[in-house]
Amino acid sequence: MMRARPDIVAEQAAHWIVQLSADDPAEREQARAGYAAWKAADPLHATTAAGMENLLGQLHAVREPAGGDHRPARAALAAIAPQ
Amino acid sequence: MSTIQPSLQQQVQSLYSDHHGWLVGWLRKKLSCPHGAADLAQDTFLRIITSRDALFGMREPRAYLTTIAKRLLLDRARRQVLERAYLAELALLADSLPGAPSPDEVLMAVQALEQIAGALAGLCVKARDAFLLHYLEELPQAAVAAQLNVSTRMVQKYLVQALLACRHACPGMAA
Repeated sequence: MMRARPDIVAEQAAHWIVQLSADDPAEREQARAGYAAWKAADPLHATTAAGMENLLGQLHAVREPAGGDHRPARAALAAIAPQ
Repeated sequence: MSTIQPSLQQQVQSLYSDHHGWLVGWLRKKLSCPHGAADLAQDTFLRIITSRDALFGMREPRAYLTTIAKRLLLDRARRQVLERAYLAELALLADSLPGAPSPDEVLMAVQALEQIAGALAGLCVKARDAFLLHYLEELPQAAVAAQLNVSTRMVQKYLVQALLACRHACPGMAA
């Protein structure tokens, strides 16, 4: 089955973003360069990447009312998590 | 709603005039709160108008209305549980915070969490945990791997999965 191009691009973007926060500094550095080149190669890459970064930005923002503490957000998610 | 077709508009209007009062009564019995019942009835009709195609060939309008209203009731209950848990934990931190968070900030956080919870609901527990431990708690990938008793490579797979699930379920957040 042929997969839609936006889905393929989203998967690539997700892989890059995960590499960006790898534990090894050399790996992170390599990912930063690769990610930048990948984004520059195609406008769809750039918009997909921006969307995913925005999503993570909003996830981080849920800690803001708690001054950056993650515990209220964690507790809230745990309260309605499916078992 | 300028794009709405007259025929659809008429259908909504007759649905509204025939069943709105009945739906509010039904919801009032469920909620024991007249304002909540009126709001939810409003939301139910709004949902119907925005879904548009749902009206055609509707045989049992009241069964249909209650199906949607029940779903909204469930969403609302879930949001209340989420919000209560968030606020309870936030209250524990109140003394260590420089100032009280604004209601707007809290509302935004609760709404985002609701969306994220929905997106993560379809994932396995480890993928969900990996995502939250890494991106919310900012644990390094190897630490997440140790906590979940999987390889770092597996953690990365989970993170990709979760990112894609969020993008899929919350297109508004990934725009």
